[in-house]
Amino acid sequence: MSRCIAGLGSVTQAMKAQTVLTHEEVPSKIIKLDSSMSKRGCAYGLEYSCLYRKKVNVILDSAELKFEEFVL
Amino acid sequence: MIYLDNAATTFPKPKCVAAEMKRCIQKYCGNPGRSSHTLSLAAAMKIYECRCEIASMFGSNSPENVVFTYNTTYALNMAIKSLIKPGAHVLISDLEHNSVFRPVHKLTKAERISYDIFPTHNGNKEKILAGITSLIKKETSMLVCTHASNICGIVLPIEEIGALCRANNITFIVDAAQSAGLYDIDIKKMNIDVLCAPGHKALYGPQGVGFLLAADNLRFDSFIEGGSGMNSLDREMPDYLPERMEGGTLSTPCIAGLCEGIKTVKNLGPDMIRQKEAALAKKAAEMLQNIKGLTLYAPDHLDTGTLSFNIKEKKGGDIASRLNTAGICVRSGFHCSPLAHATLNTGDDGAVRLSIGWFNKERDIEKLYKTLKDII
Repeated sequence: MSRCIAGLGSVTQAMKAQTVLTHEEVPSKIIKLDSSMSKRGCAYGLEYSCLYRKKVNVILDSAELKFEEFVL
Repeated sequence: MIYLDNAATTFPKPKCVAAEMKRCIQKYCGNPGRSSHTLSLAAAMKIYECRCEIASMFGSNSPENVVFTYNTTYALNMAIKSLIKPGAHVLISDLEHNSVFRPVHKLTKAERISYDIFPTHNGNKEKILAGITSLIKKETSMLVCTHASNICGIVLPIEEIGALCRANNITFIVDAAQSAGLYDIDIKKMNIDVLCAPGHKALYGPQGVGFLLAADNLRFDSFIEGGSGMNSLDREMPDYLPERMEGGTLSTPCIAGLCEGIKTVKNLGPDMIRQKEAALAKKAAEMLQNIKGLTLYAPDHLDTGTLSFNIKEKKGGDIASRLNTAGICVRSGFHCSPLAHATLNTGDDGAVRLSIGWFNKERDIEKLYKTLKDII
């Protein structure tokens, strides 16, 4: 089963994104990204079910949160 | 003991503040924003909660624009020095605390900027705005001023000053050391670019935490460089707030305490707190003016609960010392605000300041009055 992750940068950005997703009833979990997803060093992201992939993209875009999507 | 030095720091604090600090230290005090383990995330979550409380209290939708500092002085230095452009002309008021005056003076001494001081005319709005307008030059790019004086109850018309700044493309930085928690402040409505405030005064948090709240899309030069918990391989601080400005580990227990202090203030409402303090200040002013030889400064401005006085042929330090002996805490001297003392013409010895907080009662004022009468 694939994993969907939004790479967001700081833990503050990850928490803001999680708040927005929770408001839209999308469950997510804050994770620290591994080096394959964070070329500049430490970074945080949100892991969520790939069933929500399209919805997450729309929600984060409309909240003007910059993110990089990873499907593993 | 009667505590009347709430403009320096409020005391006591609501019980929930200490309780949450204790809970933090015992239950969830990991290093925020550094790891993904349970304690680190729990600490980060509490800090994010506090950012949200601050942002919503002051009219911002951007909790990430809350930058935690040690205190207001640090926040003001950060805002001024990280946003100033070489050759800029800066305006400050004649009521400023040294936390504004000294950084501006230092930048001027280093020939990086110039500045002028606008008069506050005992709080007269029209005269203040006219004074500012007359001092604006084409190089004027920043105005820094206090919202409420720390030695008397004069409050500056920051909404109108903000509009003037916006119309003239001037960055507007507000020192809310004495007003955050007492007045409704909306940074969008008031065109404030950076609001600087302490956690330990009228927000009833602990000492050791303050913050700046920035408007959206401001570009800060980094102020302190170091670990930020992200982009560790970069040689420079991250591009965006708050991590760009928050080098090193934050004080999670202090921020946790502040979060509870803010919730307490929100529940009571700044208006209710201010009305209570203003009523006690009015009572104090009425009583003090019965004392022979006493001069009360800015007696028409009592809304913030802060008032200063001198008694003829008495040293302020002696009065404060004798009040302390009687169990009453007030503060004498210049209160780190030589500009404001010069403006109010308090003299070579400064003044005695009493500043009222939410926990004071009428009997505190009555005891102060009786003790002062005994002293003289």
